[in-house]
Amino acid sequence: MRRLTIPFLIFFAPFVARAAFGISPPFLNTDHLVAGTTYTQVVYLVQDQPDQDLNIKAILAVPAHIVPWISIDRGFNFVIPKGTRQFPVTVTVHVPDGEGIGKYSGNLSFTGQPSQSGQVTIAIGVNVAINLTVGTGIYEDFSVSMVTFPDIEEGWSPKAYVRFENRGNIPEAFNSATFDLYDKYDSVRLAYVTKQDGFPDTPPFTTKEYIVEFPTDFHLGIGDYWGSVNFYKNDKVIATQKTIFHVLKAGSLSTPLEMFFSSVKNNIVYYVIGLILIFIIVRRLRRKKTR
Amino acid sequence: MRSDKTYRKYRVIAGIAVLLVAGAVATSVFSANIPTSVLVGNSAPVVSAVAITSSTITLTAATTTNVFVQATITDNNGCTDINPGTTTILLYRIGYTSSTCLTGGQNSLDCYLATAFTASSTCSATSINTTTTFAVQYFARATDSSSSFSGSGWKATVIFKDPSNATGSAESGSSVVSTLNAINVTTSSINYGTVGANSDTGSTNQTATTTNAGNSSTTLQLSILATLWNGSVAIPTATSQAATTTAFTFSLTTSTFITATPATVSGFFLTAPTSTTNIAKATFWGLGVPSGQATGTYTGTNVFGALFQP
Repeated sequence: MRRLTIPFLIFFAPFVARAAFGISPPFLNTDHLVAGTTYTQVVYLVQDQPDQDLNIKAILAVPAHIVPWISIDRGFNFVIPKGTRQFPVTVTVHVPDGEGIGKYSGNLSFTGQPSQSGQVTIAIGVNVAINLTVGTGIYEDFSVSMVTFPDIEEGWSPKAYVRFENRGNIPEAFNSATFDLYDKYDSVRLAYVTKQDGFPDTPPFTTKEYIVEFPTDFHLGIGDYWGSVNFYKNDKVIATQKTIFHVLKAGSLSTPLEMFFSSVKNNIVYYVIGLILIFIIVRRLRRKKTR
Repeated sequence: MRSDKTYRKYRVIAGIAVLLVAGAVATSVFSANIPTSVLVGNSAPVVSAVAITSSTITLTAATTTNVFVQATITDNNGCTDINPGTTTILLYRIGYTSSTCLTGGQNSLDCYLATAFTASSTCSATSINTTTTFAVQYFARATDSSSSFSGSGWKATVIFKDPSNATGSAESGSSVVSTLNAINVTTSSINYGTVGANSDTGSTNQTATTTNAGNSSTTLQLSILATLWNGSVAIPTATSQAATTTAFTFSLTTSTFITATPATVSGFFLTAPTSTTNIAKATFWGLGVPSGQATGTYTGTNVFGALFQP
């Protein structure tokens, strides 16, 4: 056997010092799926030096039976734009109706593909471990991670911003809420509002942010007020907040159109009476003409 | 008769006059001026609505991430007590406790401390909205379900002191710091140099150093994304590139070859960093070229894959 003696170059061209690349969180673990539910999780592809567009290739390696359950909002080939340090990717798992119980494991990998050509490059990859358990029982797990009082305009009712996190497998909502309104020194109670319905559902395995309004006859003029809110579920306090909030001049927050509709809503009686009067006058004028 | 009546009338008037004069004299002799003044006492400040703006904090590989803490500060003595006040804002892992964080336990792993906030509103009569920005390091401890501190979390505490040293404080609800699995390959080049056909790199290894750029321990998977190509000619992947965590002599029979299927590198483990000091480990690389391989410059791509190891 003749040995090839002519040397040739295997040239791993110098590759530039590259950016760090990672994923957060590196797992998708959910133990409480049931048939018909949809679970979503956002994973972030992160890098410290996003100097250029980065091509990403995703590969899903799970049992064939559950491949159709899993989707990625970005698809399996996408680009992280230059300048993006944290790039969210939403992974959705939909368990079909009628699916039986089971446990499944697998992996979802993302590989950054450097755009250089003609050079040997090192790509960095990351992995998301997937562990799914499909069962049959109801699982309740929720919390409220934030309650704040947004600024409002004079004449508006107090509002509370809520961030509701539902980690369970059934929809969840508050049953009731109370709102105490105090003056700016937190010494005189001006109004008390209870609310028994109108709370939006937060679907299973999701976080929902929304505003709860507490309608009151008390007219809030410009200034500062203290509010104290309690949210209940099954007669148990789930979230509470007490803080000061600001009431601003009309038009500070709303558009002219919103102001108009707000005015109509607040003065509906006068508008109705006015319209009736106009109707009567027009009718009389018409009658005169016909005579 | 009439004169009697008149006389009695005069006597009553005279009596009233005497009483008035006596009263006036008594008032001027026995009364004193009492000055009216009110001392407005100091009202302790109240801190409320403390919140970390994200319920889940996602860190960024090998660098810092801004985390925002909001709070409202109220003082019934007005803005004159708020503006010159002093503040301490803590962001800490719950298990580490705010008191440890406050008394000098500040580190980038479990505790961050700031002494100034940015006003996010003008001071309106008695209150001001504030925001504090913390640059949280990539190695800050995770508290999510697969971390060592699962079920715990991170909180913020805001302490405000007015000029009279009256203090108010409040803490936020908890947020979760997510596990970050990230690596960086810091080696600037791998160059096998000249390798003849039907020969290999022998005991000469190239090294590639991998550092942990996240807050979790990690292992490493290696694979070949694009085999070594020169135009339309490729070097077969199955027995060309080998890698281990220690120096080795290339051997077709005993070396660990890298293929298109990701394989975990035996003996490679990077613990989670606790500071900006790198946690790093090298991999050693060798190459074999089969007989009959055409001369030329071959290029390819290898993948260094981070694999979370709880």
